[in-house]
Amino acid sequence: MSEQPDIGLVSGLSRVPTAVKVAGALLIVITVLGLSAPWVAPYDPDEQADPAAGRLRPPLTGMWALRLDHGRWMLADRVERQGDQLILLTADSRRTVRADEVLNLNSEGRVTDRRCFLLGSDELGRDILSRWLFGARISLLIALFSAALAAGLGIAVGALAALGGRWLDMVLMRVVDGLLAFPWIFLLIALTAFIPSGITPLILILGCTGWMSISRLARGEIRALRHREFVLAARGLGMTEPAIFIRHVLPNIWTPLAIATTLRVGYLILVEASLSFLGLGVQPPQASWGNMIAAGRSFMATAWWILTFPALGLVITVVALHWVGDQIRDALDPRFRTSSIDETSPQGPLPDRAVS
Amino acid sequence: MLAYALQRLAASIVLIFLVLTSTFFLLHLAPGDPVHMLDLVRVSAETRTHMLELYGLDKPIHEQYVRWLKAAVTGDWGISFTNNQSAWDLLMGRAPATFLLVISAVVIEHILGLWIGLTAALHRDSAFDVHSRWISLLLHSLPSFVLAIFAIEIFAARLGLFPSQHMTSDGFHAMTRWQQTLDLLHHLALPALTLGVVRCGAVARFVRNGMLDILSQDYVRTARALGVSERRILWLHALPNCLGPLVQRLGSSLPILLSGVVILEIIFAWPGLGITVYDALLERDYPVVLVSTAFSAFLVVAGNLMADLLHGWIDPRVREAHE
Repeated sequence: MSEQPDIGLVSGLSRVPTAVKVAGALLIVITVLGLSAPWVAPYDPDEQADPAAGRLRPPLTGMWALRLDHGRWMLADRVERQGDQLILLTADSRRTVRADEVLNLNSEGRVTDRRCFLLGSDELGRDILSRWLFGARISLLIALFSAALAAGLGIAVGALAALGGRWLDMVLMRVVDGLLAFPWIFLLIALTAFIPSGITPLILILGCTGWMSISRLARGEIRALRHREFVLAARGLGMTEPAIFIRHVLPNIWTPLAIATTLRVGYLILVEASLSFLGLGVQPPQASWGNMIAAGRSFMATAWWILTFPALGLVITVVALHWVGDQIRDALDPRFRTSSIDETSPQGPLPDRAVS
Repeated sequence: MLAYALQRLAASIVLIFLVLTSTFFLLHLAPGDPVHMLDLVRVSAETRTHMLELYGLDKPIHEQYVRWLKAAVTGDWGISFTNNQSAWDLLMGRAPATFLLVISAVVIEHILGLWIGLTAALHRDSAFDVHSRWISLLLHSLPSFVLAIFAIEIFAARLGLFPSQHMTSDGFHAMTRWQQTLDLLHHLALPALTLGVVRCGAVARFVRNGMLDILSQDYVRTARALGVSERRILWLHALPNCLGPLVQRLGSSLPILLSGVVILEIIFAWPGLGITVYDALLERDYPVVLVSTAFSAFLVVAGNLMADLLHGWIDPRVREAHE
């Protein structure tokens, strides 16, 4: 067997083109923004502040915000004063409110607060930017946790198959073949339709149905290492099998598995979005990109922003994940890198698709 | 070859059996029952018991399973709970629509993918090659429902070029044969193109890399040295070697294709299998869910088997490896 060149993570990464680093940076920004949504979102994502005046507002709309008691708000494009009354004007409405009911007037009697819908507002007057950020948070959390679960299950099954003897190997791999041949959306629809809705069940369902391709990869990698000199040496020195697996095998299969898991995250974001789009994943009013897209469909003609921003978020995240995973894999994996073809373009197959 | 095919067939039958059995138990063990789902919660306890008895749902689950299995083997898949039709007839009524959509999408996918992949491989590192690479990845990462929504908005709502819902227009039955065909194609255009376009990126990448690999092989160089024309090399020597893996790839992507069809059928109100299964699952229509699962598992297995046999037929090396 020919020696494979040792490809370290750092030397491999230095071969990654700039455009991919940009995609990586974009991913980091989306992840950080999403995960810190409760702190960076300008408003409560579920707050319907004065839907009568604030609904379906286009991006970059700023409105005067009058705070009343009990945390209620009134919004207006223009506020005029008439004696002790304030007149709230929008393009199609005119409302009055007594000035002493408004809590946020300064000493000159002017309204101090504005509410800015940077990405517009939806049909209930909720802020799209805040919902986008919380949607990103939910999508990423679900995808990350279920990918971790899938990776754990996949490595466990792969290790069992590779180390558990011929029969176990055959049975497990036939099961994996069978599961891979199943149109998953049917089972996912079935499970999500019957199991109580919530984030944890969703993570469990996605994790437990998404481990097969990782187990195949893990099995292959482990089998390739099984008879390598350092493993034989460890065995000769009397190390137990589990100890050899953890100390010597696992660190060596880490890189391909980490990349496969990264690509899995992109896949799972798509699955979650598809399920939420069908109304089976994250349930409204909780925001997720998928259910924001579904809700925005009815307003496509009049309010394109409701649907477009979550759709963009979804596409950018998945493209960036696929692109980065794809390039890093090719940069690190000698099978694709040293092929006779060319050095610069990705050689491996594109990652799995969840739903066409 | 025959032994290999039989072996595959046996494994496939076991696989379908396992998938069906697990679906059966998943469905029946999930909380709630069809009578409950039928919005009949307010019926009297007596009627409820009667209905459960009628459908055999009062028996212990293993007994139900044996009964269902015995009937299924003889081709009796039961009566739909929701519209009193035989589940099999219901399925067969819906299957042609799905076949039409899937086959059109696969054709579009491969025409686009082969064109992009071949052009990119033949003009390596040209502007076309460079741009087709990232476009392939973009298309591959695009969720089909997002593309579908934008396609409907632009081509149906704004431009009015194509209908966005259903498979036929209102007066379909009064039309002539020729008009019916045109009407059907008109309705088919958007869903088939959407599905074909999101899937063509992966084919383009596959063909490009496969072709580059083949074109760098010794036998191609030899053919070139012997003065064989580039066109002849491409069509007679390189392309056939690329088609085998492509066919196999199509076989193994069938489950994903079927999953994608479900979502597109729902968006385009396309009266096929996907929308049937979706509704049946939400209504707990067990017979319809089970027969659809069986049918889709059969399609996947049959598709894979056909892809393998076709691969063997295209590429003698594969055939010999199994003899």
